[in-house]
Amino acid sequence: MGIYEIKNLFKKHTTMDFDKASPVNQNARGIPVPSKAATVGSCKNCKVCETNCPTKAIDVKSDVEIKFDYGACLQCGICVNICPSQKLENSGLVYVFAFNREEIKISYVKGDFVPKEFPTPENVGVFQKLTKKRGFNYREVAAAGNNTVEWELGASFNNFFDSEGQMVRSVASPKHADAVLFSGPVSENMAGPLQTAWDCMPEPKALIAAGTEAISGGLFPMGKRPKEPDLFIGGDPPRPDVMLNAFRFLMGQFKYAFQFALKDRIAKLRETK
Amino acid sequence: MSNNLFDSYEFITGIFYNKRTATYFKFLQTNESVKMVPLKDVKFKEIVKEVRFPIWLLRHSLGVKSGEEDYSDVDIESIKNSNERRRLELEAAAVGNSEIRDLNFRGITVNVQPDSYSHAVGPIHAGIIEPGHFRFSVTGEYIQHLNIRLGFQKRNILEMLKDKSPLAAIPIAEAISGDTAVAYSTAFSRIYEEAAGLKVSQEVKLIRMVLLELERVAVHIGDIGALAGDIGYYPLHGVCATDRGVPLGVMEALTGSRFGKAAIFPGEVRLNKNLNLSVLITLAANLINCFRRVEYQFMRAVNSTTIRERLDDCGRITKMQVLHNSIIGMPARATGLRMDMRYSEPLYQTAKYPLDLNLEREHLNGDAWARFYLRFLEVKNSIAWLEKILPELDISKAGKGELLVQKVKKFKPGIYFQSVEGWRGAVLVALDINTKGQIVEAYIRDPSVLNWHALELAVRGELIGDFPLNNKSFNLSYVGFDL
Repeated sequence: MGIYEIKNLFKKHTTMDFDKASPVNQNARGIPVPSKAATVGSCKNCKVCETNCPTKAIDVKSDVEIKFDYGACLQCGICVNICPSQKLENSGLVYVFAFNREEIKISYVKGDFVPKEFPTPENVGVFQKLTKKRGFNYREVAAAGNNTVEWELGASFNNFFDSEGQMVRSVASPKHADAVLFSGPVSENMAGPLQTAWDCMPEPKALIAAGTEAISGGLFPMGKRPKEPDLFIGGDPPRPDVMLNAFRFLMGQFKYAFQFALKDRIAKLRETK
Repeated sequence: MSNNLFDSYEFITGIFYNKRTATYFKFLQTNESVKMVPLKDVKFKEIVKEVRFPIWLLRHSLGVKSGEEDYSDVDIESIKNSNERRRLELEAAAVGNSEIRDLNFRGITVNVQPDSYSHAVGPIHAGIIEPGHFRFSVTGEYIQHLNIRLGFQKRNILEMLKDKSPLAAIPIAEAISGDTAVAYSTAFSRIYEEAAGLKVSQEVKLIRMVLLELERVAVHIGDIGALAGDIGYYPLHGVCATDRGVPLGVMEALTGSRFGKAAIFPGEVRLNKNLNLSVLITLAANLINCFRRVEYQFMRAVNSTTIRERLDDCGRITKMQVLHNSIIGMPARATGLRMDMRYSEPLYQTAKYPLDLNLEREHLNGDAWARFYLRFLEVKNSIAWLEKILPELDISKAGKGELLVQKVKKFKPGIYFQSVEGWRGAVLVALDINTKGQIVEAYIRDPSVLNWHALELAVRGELIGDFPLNNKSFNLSYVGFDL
């Protein structure tokens, strides 16, 4: 080992500061939200966004009400481009995670919605008590995901994101794990192995759905999961910083409420225009 | 063998049975292109008898669901012989000799001699990777034979693609194997452009190439790091694990997605709105700085004899094996063969700055070292090109995300195919399209389909402890195989 390693000892660390991380990433498309144009007029009978959404994440309920399931959103931005009256825009909001599946479904009326608070579920509370100070280990199961979640998890261990620095480690066996993290829509042939991995784990334990496909199946029908996941992380794939802050959210180290963050983001977008 | 054979060759790289016309189509790979040949009035029997069709390709492309595989009576030495294996596979096929079984795992029994043992791995592996079943037959520490069976992640993509419009097909194409999203969306887009008569400007083509090279660079840097990690050489591992993020970040700055998803559509490329020349110059600078950090550690690593000895002669594939088993892409290039679809893409050479596709052949002798070094050479060439070409991109011509293909009224129906050199090798896509642009039938062959068999061949006689290293040196797609 040479001088290079010694020099490194005196360099400033490059790990990101998770407490100061922004839920918005300027370069990423993020989830689509109604733009200022959506607050006036109506959509009439236009359902072009609904019909062209690859995962059917959009439901145009009436000429003024539109429902987004951000747990099914691939953040591809097709709806934004295809809307004939520019009523949607890419928000850049990438922190799409929650304990409750309903929390990441938003119904907009005239481009607006009232955010709701969702209490921390009981079993997550137990998990937080155990892991808040000690961190947790997870076993990853790729259940027919498209391999990008695995790439981003790999990246979460580099010195910039530093998963282990956040006390979250990946382990080789579910017997050593506190949580099972799975990606993908759970194909028929992976439902069994995923169930086995879950059953091997001692209580208390958590099931983490990483990526849009794991939450709703995405483009594919959702397969059989061992149970309703405890943490949903949206994105195809979610960025490493999103997953790590979601893990910190699961441990109770990071406070986040998706609906309120979304409301803030929409307000900010409209203000700048 | 004369050098001639290795300079100009042609082997079968795909087989597509089109139900509509009841015809088999074979795809022939040369060193820089792929062509499609219809096999008129050829029956299944004749195809399986034709030894030039690699058995893995037949089983992947034409295979049907079948029960457990039992090789307990078959001597390992004879199963290693590919002709014998073909006969056995056909015997074990589901219905007489009119069908062949697929490669999905449904239970497999192998012959175990008193002096050896068999060892199963999977479906869930120890690391953060995809699931598959590896059955090793091992004597002492040496792998005699390896059977790889996959199919755990089968999502019925080929069925799903049926009746899909172009706009609906692109997101599915990108999910075939998410790490190769750019190569697949490029292949699909080119097919639709051909069928719809959509003109694509040189500027758009160039931007696509830039994205394709970014994808290659990002994965290669990650793989170099992963190999270094497996050897236990952490300086290179650490730098690569972090600096893989630079090309991904550049991709995100350009397209809004770290993997270039939903960026390439027929007739256009959808780029971020806030791009301008100064951003492009910064991105180019980021890339070259990232390369300098990787290069410094890579050179330190390869100058260390322990690393060289670890990789040298590990998991070797010969040129003859490449030609006999239709191995393509990186593992084929690592044997020193010239094989790259990018040769046939004139824009790489006619752009203001050409992309250098020449490789230092003296390192490329088919082993893990060659695959390690090849990645570095490709990263070096691609980043040198990207640095110069990024500021030259005419982003105003990229389109504003109009989703042009929506406006196309009529498509010329027929069977189209495209092959694009992704980072693993050439992806092959053939689509049967109707007048509305909907897919009637699809054929997808990831380079992994052929190269998984290369891994089986490469590890024969190798130490079982070296398997992770060998596996990583190929880094194949499970999900792209399972479809």
